[in-house]
Amino acid sequence: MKTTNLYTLLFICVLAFPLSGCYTFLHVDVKQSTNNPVTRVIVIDPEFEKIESKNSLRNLSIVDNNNQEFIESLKDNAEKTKVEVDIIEHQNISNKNLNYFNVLLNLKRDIYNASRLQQPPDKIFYRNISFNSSWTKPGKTQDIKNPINIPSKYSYLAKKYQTPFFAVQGILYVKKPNNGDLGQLMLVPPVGFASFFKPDHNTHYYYIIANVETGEIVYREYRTFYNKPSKVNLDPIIYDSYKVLTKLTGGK
Amino acid sequence: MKVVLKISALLLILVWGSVTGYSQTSGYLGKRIILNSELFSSLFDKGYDGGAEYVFLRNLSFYADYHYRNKNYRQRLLPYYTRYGKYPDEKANFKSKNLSLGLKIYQNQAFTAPKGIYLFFQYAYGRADIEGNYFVMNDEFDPDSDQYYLYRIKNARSRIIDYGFGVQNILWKFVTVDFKFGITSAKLSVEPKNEYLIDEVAYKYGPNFINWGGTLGRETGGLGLSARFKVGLLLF
Repeated sequence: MKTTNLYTLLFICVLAFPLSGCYTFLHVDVKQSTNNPVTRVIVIDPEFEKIESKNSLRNLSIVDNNNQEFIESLKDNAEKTKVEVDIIEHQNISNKNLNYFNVLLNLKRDIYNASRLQQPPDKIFYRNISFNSSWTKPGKTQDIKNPINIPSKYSYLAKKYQTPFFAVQGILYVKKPNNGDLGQLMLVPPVGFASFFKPDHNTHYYYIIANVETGEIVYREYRTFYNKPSKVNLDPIIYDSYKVLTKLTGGK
Repeated sequence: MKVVLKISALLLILVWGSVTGYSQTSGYLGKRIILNSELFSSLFDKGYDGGAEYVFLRNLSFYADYHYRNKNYRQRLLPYYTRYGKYPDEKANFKSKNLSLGLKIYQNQAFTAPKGIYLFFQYAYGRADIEGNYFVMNDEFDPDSDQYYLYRIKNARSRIIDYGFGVQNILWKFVTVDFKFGITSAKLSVEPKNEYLIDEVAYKYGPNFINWGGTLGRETGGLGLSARFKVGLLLF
């Protein structure tokens, strides 16, 4: 083999190395058979949870539950993409609002449960949601065929809110210490050395929409990226999420 | 050349799945056109570079660049060194103008182009003017018989193939910062064939970071690694 060809092969190996750990993931399931396009969605109290550990994975604790920036980003991008989204926020609900506590919170729980039961049990990671995209190819849609539904008792909400589509949407951010990467340390010493000191950021975004009239989960989306959930990172993700939803469910 | 094509084809096949997932194009918050300029050309090549990138699929963008390089380099004329014990003080000059077309295949699924890590493949074609010196030692014991003359080559054809990986980030929602690193294979040719071009110039052409010189297959030109740093504006 010529020396130059050897260099080329060496470069390919070097090229494969940094790309191997830098992917982010997207997974979308959609109910293809729906005749009712998703034009308006009621989002029940979006979640923004930050879990942090300074010592080890065993001491994870929720340190922040401030979701205002996330909700602003949801509203801004819904406006930009012309998707009609109504967000019910728990901060704006009084103790006397029994509909929220008796119905919507239960619906939210039932959407999580139905979504969980439609997924392989060994992949469930947090809040009944799988963030492991390895069970289907990232970037490919998968038709939701599983018949497990949410209870029919919520069907009257379609008339009350003038849409049958109710969603749970949120961010889970996990920050944990990085144990370092010995392989990286050997191959790319500066990057490998830094990996021992830089914390590990994992941000997961999910968006699950149910049709309360039919009791079906009609749309489910997960994204994972390895950075902070700052507005700079969230805005393009939420914008694209609404675009994908519109495209796949035949919305506006 | 065949090796480069085979490897490039393999890379394209491997990443094709990433561009076929969804056909709609979000861009970055709906913006899909970038105007940018490469800074290393100005710093190291005394040239300039300007171009545009257009995101036309979810994870795929197309770009076009114009490069102008005006580079001086030391002439390693061995007969001259044998005679005087040093290389000539005069530097050779190399001016080239290239138009390049390229594809970027973004690897992130959660983010859409033009943000994130990508693989790229680029082809540049252009013309080059070379000006240098040539030294002929006719008689080892008679310095007066030496010939040292100026050599000019006009309109040599240049071709550069680049492929590698890079990362593009977006700041303040409208400034793009793009760093890419790749292998560069260059070819320089003129008709009729010119020995000076082949022996003294061609192998220096192409890579801007590490040049292994030599040839790839039957091509005459530089082979090595290039790094490029672009700053641009995400317009609309």
